[in-house]
Amino acid sequence: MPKKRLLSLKPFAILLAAALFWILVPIAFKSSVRSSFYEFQAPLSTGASYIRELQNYWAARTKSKNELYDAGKDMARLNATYELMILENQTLKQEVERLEELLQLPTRAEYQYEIARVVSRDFNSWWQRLEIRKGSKHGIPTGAPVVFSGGVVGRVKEVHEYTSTVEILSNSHLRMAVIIAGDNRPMSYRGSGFQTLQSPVGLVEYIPNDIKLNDPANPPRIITSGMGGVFPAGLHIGYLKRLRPGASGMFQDGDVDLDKRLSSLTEVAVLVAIEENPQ
Amino acid sequence: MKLFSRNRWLIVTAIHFLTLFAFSEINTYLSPWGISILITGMLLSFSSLVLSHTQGALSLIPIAFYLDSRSPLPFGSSLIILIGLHYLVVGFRYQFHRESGGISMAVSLIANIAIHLLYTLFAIVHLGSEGLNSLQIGLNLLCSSLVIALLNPFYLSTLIRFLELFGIKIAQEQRQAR
Amino acid sequence: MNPEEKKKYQGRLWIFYGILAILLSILYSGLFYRQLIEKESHVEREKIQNHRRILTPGPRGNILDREGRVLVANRSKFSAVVFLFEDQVQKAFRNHYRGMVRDYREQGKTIENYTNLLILSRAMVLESYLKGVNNLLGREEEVDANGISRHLNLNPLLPYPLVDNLMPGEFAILLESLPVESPVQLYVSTMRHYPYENAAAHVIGYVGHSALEIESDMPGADLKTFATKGSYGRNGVEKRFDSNLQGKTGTEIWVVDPNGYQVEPIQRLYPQKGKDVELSIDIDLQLVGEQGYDLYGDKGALVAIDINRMEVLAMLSRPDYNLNDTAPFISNDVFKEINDRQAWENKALRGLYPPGSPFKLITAIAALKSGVIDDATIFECDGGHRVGGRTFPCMGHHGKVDLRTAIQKSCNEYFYRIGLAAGSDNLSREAVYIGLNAPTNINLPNETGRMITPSRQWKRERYDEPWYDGDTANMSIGQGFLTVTPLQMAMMVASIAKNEVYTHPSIVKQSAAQLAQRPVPKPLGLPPEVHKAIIDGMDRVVSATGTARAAMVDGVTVAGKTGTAQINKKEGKFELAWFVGFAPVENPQIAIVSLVEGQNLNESFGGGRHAAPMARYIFQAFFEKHPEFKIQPEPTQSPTGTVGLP
Repeated sequence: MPKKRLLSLKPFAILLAAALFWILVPIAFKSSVRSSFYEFQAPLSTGASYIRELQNYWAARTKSKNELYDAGKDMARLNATYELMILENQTLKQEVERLEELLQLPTRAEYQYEIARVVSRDFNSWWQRLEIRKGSKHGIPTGAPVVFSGGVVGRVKEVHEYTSTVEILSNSHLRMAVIIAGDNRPMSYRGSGFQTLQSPVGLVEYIPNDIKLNDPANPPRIITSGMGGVFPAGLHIGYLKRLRPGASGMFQDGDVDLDKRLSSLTEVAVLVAIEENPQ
Repeated sequence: MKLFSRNRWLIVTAIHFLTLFAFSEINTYLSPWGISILITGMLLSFSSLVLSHTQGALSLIPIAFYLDSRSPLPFGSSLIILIGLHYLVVGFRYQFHRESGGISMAVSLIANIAIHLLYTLFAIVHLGSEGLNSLQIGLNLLCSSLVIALLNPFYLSTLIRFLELFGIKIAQEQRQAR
Repeated sequence: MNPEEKKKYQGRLWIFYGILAILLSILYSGLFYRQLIEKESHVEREKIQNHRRILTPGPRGNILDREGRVLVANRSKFSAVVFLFEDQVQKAFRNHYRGMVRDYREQGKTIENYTNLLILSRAMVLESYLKGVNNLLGREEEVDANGISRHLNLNPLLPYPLVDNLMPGEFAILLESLPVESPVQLYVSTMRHYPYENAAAHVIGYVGHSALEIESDMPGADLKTFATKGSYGRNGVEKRFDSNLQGKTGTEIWVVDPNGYQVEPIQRLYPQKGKDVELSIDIDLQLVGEQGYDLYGDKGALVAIDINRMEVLAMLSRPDYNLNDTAPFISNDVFKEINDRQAWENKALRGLYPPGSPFKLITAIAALKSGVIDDATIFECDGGHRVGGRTFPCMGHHGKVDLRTAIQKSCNEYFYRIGLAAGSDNLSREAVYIGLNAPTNINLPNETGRMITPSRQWKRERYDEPWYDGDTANMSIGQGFLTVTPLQMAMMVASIAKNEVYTHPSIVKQSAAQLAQRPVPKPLGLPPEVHKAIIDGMDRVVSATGTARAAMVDGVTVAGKTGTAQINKKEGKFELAWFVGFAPVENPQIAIVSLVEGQNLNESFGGGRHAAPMARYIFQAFFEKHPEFKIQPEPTQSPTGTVGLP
């Protein structure tokens, strides 16, 4: 009888031994196992993303000529608008450069845009991450800011050979210095997850007490401060929706409604800082 | 065939992996609605109830590593959760009629709840509680439970049939074992 | 055992049971007493042992100008801190200490002082954290090893500042570069911010930091308490209205472990911001006054008063200092620099000066009220007046002058004569009546009470000498023993403007109810036509032919009086330039006093040249804001019936 009891404990003894073994395994081994497992499955998810695009392509092929014609017209119109905006931007850029030179302002970091397709979106109850189809082979660095047409997406958290993982704005581990558009006092932003079936949300801390939500239809816009050196200044983050007294009583905390499109992104741009040529 | 029988965990792991992969694709499509389906409890239920404790553990280890390689939690978190739960189920499985579909379903659902709770605990410790929304966790758990309730019998029978293709007759083995 | 023996042992056993029962009953009674009767005191003792209280001062209220513009606010003060009680920091301390002990032993060294080794190991851990911060910010900060021990002994529950007072950019860099789980945390508190820097520096004042005053009604009064320093007003409005501005202290009560480190909070009362204080200062006028002073003076004071509300619209004192240099604290260098320039003093209410020619207005009032002259009395000015054996000079030969001309030309001889005629007692009485002998009791701290309105009795007591006619002559023209503050002079001119005596100005904007509750002013005591003669004379001073033409403003009638007085310092005689004035003459609204101290020995200074122009800037700014008080040009009727331009 005691022998049988001992035998029934065998699995637990193995579990205990395995757990001990795992604790004692060097971190280098763990990280190599981790990256091996990631790289092992990466081609499958990347392949799936290509298949998805192929599906979209063939779905587009089934469109009637009239639909394509209309889409082409819309596209031409959009192109014309964008060309005009490019010209305007060039003029404004020259003006900004002239003023910067005149005021002897320090040069700002220049970025190169690396466009990347989204492989998968892992938005579960605990974290929200994107896997994008560009990695170290494409010069993506860890920590690089990621943006889309609606503003900031997040930061590159991990870089693999051909893919990277992006931590999006709603993650509580993503922290950045932000300002309210038109105000230059830096505040702290961090993600606060997803509201059920709703848009992603963030939390801004250290909001000065004079900031008020007077006009609900026109809430203060939160943008990147550019002071932290990671994100360029002026990128849209979201709108300040609710204010409440902060824990210290000296500042306010505020909820930020982020762009709903963050949960359905298919393409993003990674901002890769261009190294200044010492010459 | 003996080779397959001894390494049946490999076949189970491959199917578990394909299932997880399929659900990661489904989750990509569901993300705009803020819903994420987690069916790891269903996989654990099969490995813990149907396979021997060693084979079950071996089939779950690569799955845990796969999950860990894609998660911001410390590497090994899923391993601890899955293997811990596996041995807990193994410890109790002699107490009930484990070939029964109902038991398999109950273990899948309970294990999935436990996994949700443990992931939440790990997330609080390592990522902080600021980004956690109990309503969202509850909703995702509900959706996952519904999916498991629908899929579990099908998944159980499919895996058993798939193993039979390799000459592994689970039902017969269980009868002999009794 | 036979039955007898058994019986014997049975008896002993009963005795033993009895003793046991007694002992147990004592034990249980003790337990009962301790657990039930003394329960409260045990709970209380446990609470005191296991609970700690952290007090955080509430942010101070803002200081606003009369139009609600922020003169003083709180701005964020960013710091990189380490919470020494956090698990990972404690673990790092322990591991590093053990590693050091091991290294010493392996190297065969003897550890003479374990405490020093512990201090060193903690410093090295924090040094490693600081190194990361220094690398990110390009700073070269260092850790104070003894400071850590001091902090752990005195305030273990408060954050240990690694780098204090970070620039906003540095805060942003750390925010984005430090991992969220880093032991180095970013901490934001508040410090005073003065958007107008030097403007009204002496009025606003500054704050200093000292141990937080703990109110008895705060929860957890019996607990061991840790508190960050509180900010307390040290000067100006910050000091005078400290109780209003002071925020409500926040209280946190934490359960602590046996080492005294935080485990969990059980009570939290957030600090609350203090009340705002709305001053009577108009920052537009203040800034204009500052600009005017920059052009015409280096040292002195300027005061502008709303005559109807008796509120200070602008007050400046030079030399001044940038209030932002006093926040978050006054460094030794800053203190010394301000001290060396003698810039701490608010000369508007602490500077004592001879009033000079503006005092002639009091002499005139005294003479008129005593009946020795009327507004038509004429005297001949031949350039000086002989009193006793000495000739008291006049600045010119003015010929026949009446009161109006005497004020306009500032004829000394006229005032010697009427002062001597009225007598020193009347002069003193009038000066006292108008409030020149006592502080104004403005709601600002440190107003001097050492002003002098001399009298016979005063001279006897002070110098044990009799009063001479020469003293009266000197007093008649605002010289001699007389000393006043610029604020008193401002109240004097406001009183003359209204023909009523006002002595208590306010630096705070008063509500309608407060204004209604003010005491009824005393009459100046001059019949309107006589009062008008003085005002006419002052009006002529600020005219094309007057000494204060530099104070003239288009579309407004300004009345004033300039003056040049001498002060004796150990280096020699220095001149002072005064201007006192008000406007509009018909409906007085604003009174201004400007005073410029001569900086160089024997340098010629004049109220008209140095003090009057800066007053013009304020008059102009005031009437631009209040055009309704300007003289409206008569509309000319054009043939078509439209209103023509002037």
